[in-house]
Amino acid sequence: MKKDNDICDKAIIEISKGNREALSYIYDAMAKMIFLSAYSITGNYADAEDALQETMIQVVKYSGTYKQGSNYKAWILTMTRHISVDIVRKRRMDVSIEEADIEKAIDTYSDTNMLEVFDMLKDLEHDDRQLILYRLYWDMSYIEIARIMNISVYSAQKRYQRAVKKLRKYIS
Amino acid sequence: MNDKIIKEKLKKLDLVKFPDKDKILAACGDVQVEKKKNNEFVKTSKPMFKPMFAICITLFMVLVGVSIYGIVIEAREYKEAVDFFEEYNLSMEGLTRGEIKEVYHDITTGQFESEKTVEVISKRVEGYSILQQEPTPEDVEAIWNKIKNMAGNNEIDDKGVSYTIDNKYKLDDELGFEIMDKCIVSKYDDGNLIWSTEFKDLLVEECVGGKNVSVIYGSTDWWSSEQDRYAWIAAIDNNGNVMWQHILDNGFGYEDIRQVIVDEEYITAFGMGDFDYMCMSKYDMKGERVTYTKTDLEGWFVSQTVKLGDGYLMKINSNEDGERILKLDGEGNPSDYFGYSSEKESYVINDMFVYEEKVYLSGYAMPKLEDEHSSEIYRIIDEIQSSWQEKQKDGFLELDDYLIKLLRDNYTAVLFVCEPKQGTPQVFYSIDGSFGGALKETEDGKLLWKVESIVRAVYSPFLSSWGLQGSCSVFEYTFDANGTIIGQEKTNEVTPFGKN
Repeated sequence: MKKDNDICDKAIIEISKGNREALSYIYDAMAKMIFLSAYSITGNYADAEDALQETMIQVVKYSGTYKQGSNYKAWILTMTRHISVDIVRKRRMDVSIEEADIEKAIDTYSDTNMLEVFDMLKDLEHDDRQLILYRLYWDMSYIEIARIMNISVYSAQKRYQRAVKKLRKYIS
Repeated sequence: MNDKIIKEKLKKLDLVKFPDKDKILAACGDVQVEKKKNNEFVKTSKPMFKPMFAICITLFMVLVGVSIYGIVIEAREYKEAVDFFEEYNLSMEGLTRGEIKEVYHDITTGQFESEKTVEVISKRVEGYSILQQEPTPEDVEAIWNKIKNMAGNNEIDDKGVSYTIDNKYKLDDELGFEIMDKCIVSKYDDGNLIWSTEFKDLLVEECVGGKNVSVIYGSTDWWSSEQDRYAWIAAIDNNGNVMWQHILDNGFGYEDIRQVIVDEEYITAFGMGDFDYMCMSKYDMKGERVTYTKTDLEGWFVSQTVKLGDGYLMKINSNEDGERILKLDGEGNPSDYFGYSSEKESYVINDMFVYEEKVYLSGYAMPKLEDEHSSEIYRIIDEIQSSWQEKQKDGFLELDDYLIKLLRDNYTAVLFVCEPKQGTPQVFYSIDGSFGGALKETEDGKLLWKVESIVRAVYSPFLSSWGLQGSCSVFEYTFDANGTIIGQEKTNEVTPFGKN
């Protein structure tokens, strides 16, 4: 894990120097996380794919602003969140992100596994969906989650507990 | 259990087909890197290291899992590593500066990560196993009788100084539930009331005695997660008069005090801010705050602190990474850390004590858990479950030799003796079937170690609070200034334990 962190950290610096091959390391390490985080907001395979592509573009564009040794996951996933929220807003300009009816977004590409998982998460707010993924799928610490979501550790813990509680109904 | 089911479901994401890599990366071909402005990074996220300011003091600190050392301590660490190599006649030939430090770090923390680390220590940790008698049926009966007659939490100790805390609540008509009204704190000496003092609208959590002062601390009342919660601290003289009190408002939504250390000159409070920061506030006897430091612990939290010379040793815990000991200077700035671990065992430290310039750590060892997220007792519960049908009675497993033996086989009290400069355990003692308890100095200047020997255990999946609970018989071991055991005594004391 430590080695992966070092590689990605250095990869971003290399990208800032013009080494586009280093972007492949970032993709391999982060694409799944970016895509699923985006999907948890957009609820749509095509939009999540767009968000993934736009995130990688922004990684290149802003690689010069990245501070070596800082948390690359938080840096990248924060971009993903903003991009995804923008995509949903553009799709439904007249409603807030919380009101966007994600289920009604046309989704013709998601496979059954994805649909099954996100059916389980459908009653959660999009932030809580991400929280569940970060904590239970990627085994992230609360401190890492708090950084990515720009909330306090305490809030991350509380929201996670609430989200799990909400899912009990689905599980039972 | 819910987490496991959700996790199983989420594993289906492993099977999902993700977008084509080449297609995604192809779109990045023409993107230009934005230049830095004025040679400075634009902050897009919180920096990994947060410089925290005491009054005019800057701090850089590296914690567990990160082997980047602040420039200000790198030279000192290298010197320590070289001193260590020279003391133990280790060869530095062929090792770079970085590799020397890595080997030193690996050996002193017992975590061998560097490829260059080899087993070259000439002096190994000596472990002395103290034989302790197994509990007899008479022990169990005596404990059972004692438990039935145990007093509540506010028992007045008729020996020496003790405090009682009586938090009173009142019904708030607007909110519709009870909130804090006042707290009455009383001091006793040999069972005699010395003084009693009231605090309005404040929750008292703990009292600590000093030479001519008692320190009370706690928090403002708090009934909703939407409210801010402030820590507060007060100093009371020997007549029960409040000398001064402060509510700590350091910019956090949630701040607590976990421990207060009182010495002849200062009252020092250690706590956490927003579950992220370790906060140290040092007051003089007039209540003037002379030092304030906050340090981002990056996922660790404050557990216990002892004074060591001009500085402090602080035990910090992490859900993911176990425990460490952090060294702080007198201003509360972390300067170093060390750990204690082995390949086959996990340790939990219950108490730390500084005696004759050495640090003693009392706790217990158990077989290392394979799954870092599992509870401490999952292996024991697994074993119980396999014979549950056969052994349970009315949903309980109690007073059964099998259960007690199972617990005693899995827990071992340990006493570490550490040289604080290097953090290397020099000598340690262990006792099977027990938990290491409190450490203190006796009146005649010896070190006393309380060890809790497991005598009684109950298991029921229907118990609301604990998976496993029971009682321990307390033994006391005495050590001289050299750390040599010189006495052993079985007391009449009984302590409960509970494990989740």
